Amino acid sequence: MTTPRGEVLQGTLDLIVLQTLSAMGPLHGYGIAVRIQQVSEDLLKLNQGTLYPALLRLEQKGWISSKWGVSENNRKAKFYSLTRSGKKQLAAEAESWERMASVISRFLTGAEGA
Amino acid sequence: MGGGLRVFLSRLAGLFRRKHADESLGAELRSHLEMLEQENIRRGMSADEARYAARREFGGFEQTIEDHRQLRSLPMLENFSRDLRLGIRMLGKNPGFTLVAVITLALGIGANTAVFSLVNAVLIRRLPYKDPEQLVLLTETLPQLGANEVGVAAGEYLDYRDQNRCFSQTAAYETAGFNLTGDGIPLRVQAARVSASAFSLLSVNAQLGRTFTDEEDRDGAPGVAVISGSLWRNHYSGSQGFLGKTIRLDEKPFTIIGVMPASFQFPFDGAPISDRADLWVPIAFSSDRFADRVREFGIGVIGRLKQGVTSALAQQDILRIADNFMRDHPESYAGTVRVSPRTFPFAGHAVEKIRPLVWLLESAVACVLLIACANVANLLMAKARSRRREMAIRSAVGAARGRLLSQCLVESFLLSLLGAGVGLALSLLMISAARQFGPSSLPQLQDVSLDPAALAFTLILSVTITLFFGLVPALQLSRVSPQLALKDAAQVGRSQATRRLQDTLVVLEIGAALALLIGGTLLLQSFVRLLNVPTGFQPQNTVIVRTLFDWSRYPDPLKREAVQKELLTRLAALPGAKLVAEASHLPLSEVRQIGFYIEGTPPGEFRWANNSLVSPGYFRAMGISMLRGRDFTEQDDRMSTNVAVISEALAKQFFANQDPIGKRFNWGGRADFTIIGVAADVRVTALDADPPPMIYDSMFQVESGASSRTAFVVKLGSADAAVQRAVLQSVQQEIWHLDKDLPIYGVSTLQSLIEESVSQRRFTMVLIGGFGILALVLALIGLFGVASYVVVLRQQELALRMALGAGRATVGWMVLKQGGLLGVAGCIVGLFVFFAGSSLLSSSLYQTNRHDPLTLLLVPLILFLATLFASYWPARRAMRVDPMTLLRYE
Repeated sequence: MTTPRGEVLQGTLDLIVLQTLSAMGPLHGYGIAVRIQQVSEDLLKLNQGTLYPALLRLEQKGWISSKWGVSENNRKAKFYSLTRSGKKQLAAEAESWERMASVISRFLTGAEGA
Repeated sequence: MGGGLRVFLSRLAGLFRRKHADESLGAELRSHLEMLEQENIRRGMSADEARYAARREFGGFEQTIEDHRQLRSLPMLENFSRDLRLGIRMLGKNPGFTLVAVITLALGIGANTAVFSLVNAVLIRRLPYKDPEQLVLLTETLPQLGANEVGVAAGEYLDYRDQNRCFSQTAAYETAGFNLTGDGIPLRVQAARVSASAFSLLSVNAQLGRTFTDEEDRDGAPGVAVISGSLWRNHYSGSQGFLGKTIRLDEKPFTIIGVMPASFQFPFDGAPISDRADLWVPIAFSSDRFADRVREFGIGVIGRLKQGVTSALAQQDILRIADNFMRDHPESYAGTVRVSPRTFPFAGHAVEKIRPLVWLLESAVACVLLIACANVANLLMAKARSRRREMAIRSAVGAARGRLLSQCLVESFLLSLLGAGVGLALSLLMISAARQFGPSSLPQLQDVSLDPAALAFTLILSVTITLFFGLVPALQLSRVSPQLALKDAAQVGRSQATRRLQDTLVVLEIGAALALLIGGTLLLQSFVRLLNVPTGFQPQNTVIVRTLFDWSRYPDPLKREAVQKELLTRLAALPGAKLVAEASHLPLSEVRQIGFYIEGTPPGEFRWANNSLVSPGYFRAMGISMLRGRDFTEQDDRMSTNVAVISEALAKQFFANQDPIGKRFNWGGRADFTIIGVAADVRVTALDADPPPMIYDSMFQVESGASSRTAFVVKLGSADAAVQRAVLQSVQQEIWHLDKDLPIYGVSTLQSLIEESVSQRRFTMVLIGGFGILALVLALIGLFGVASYVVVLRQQELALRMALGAGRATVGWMVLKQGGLLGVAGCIVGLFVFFAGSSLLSSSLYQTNRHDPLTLLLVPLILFLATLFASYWPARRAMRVDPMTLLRYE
């Protein structure tokens, strides 16, 4: 498999963003970035700018929608929220990710046993 | 792939909201940065520190915007729309170039599409009948009488029908005209008598009702008629209840039993609208038509060839039948009366005579298209040269080759699109003009419409040429590195290959234009010569009005004569009328032939001559001079000796070295006639046909089939159009005053009879002449363009020459000489082209040598001078070059 690293990362980022929106409800870009850093405990180093193309991609696919609103400290910001098809997508992706993760870990443990 | 489509659509929508999306993203990112900044300040950083840290954490700001944009757009469409806008700007920046290129393309496309459509309609269109290639026309010629394609006689038709082995079916037809009365205004309708088999042979059914049966096609059967779709719509407003109604044709009752579809045009497919039959009745031969086998020809026969029978076989078969019946009826076929039947393809026969004309037009327009394409190619190449530098720079700063190519493509495409649009409009215009002003002898013109195939052909040709030559700059560039191209752009002159191609194109253009111009000049000469042919009569200030005293309304000749004479008296009394007369047949409009035996010649020496029944005074009113003897008088009546006036041609042909006055001839067994006068020859059939032998009879002395036809000829004292109108109106009133049911038709003037008879030649001349001038203009534009372009390219060289001491005159002369050389080469090529194609002209020329030396000398000379003229402006420009400025600029 010669899947480029960016591709994997991108898919991962999509999943992370979807999960974040699912857990937190509507959020603006900055909020999403902060939340990702909190959850990953800064293990995942993220250039916050790369978030925006990912958001656009998700929106183009119809998984999230956006709306201008006002932030907690009274600033104009664009809020993203999960759509119905986004929820389905999240469920499907989470499942396939878990399956993949368990397969990988089984391989890893299997390799240890041998 | 619902998701894929969704993404595509949202991106497509993004194209139209680019500015908005950019602004929105900017606001969003700024708000993000501000929040980051705020957070940093909260953590205790200074304002400046907070801003820098925010930037750092955010990453590439511009990169984000660019990525975002990429995601929003469709790169191909994006590039295309950019190319499109750039292309429009480039075309707008060079309005001269754009205008010339578009006009050139439009003229080529327009003219070619129009003429192709015409050719298709006239020559190639299939007849609207089943298996039209199986249909043949059968007609006879009487070689020893010089009577061509006279049709067949009734008895002969039956023999052909019953004895042939080559046809699966035959049908007979005859043209006729009727006064249609019985409801509303009396109407003169063109009609045909046809055998019942005609409809099944052509396999055309009535659109409404039915066609007639064999039982109805019998002498004595009750009259039935089938009418055309247009008569039904126009005269009977398309009412269904019309079927079964009785109308009167020449006072005889006929029942309408059917309406034909609009596409049915029989017997003459594609005849002029005025001549198309609107009504069909059974031919129902009466028994007296068989009494004398050769008394009356004029029956057209069509046959459908049996499967596998060739036209050569059919020809043999009908020759055999004719030999048989001529052997079986020696009493009819004696002396000069020998028939020779021939078959023609039904489809081809109608257009045979105009085929050369159509090909002439086609080759003329092909020349124009070639010139137009060559011009556009030249223009684009010149433009390409001047854009090499731009292309090189763009490629040097990183434009991909594909992008340059696509930009060139888009520009050329725009150009050809514009040209095609204008060209389409032009061709529609030309087609409607041809329909309006075309000659009536090209009847199919009425059916010409824009031919999609022709349009597609021309479009593809011109668009391909435009695209190809538009691509040249980008292709050329892709072969050399940008550095080289940039360097080269500063160099002087054209490349060898470009030069050769451009010069060749110009030479070809001039050549094609010359060939067309020579053709046009010859046609013009021939036309002028034709108009100056002595017609034999004086057409000035003479109006004509026709009417018909049909047999059923005027069974008594004396009663008819009384009305005719009364009308002559009344018309002569009209203010403005100088001379009045009547005739059954007028020159250049109607033709009638009669057969006669000259007294004292052996039996069987049957002769033909044209004939007209005229009133006394006809020769004076028409301005036909009496060469010998006397005109008819009132005394030449039904009681006195039958007399006749003959034409000079007849006198020369049959009474050479004798005095014809007093000689006698027998007209078809009817009576003996004594010749009392010889009148000057009159062009009867056409201006370009020699005057035929002609016999005039007095209409108040003899009865014949032509007696019912009467054309009033009124010579006016003045040329005033108002007088002419007033007289025409009074003539009409006087006629209806005496009998309100007399149909009036063919109201015209003698002058317009002449004009109508030359309308086809006029049409040809105007078209070819127009194409010639068009070609000349295009070729000169081409030459001018190339010469100007060369001057621009050589500016530095010229400046250098001048700086080194060459006079301005020398420099100007150089440019002029180059144009002149191209002109000479073009003229030589043009003469070759003309000689190769001149045979197409011969049938359109009247008494004009198609290799007329004077024309072949003068036209090239004039064209050569024109090429010098076209190079004059570039030469002047070259002379104006200021060496110092130019060299300093470098």
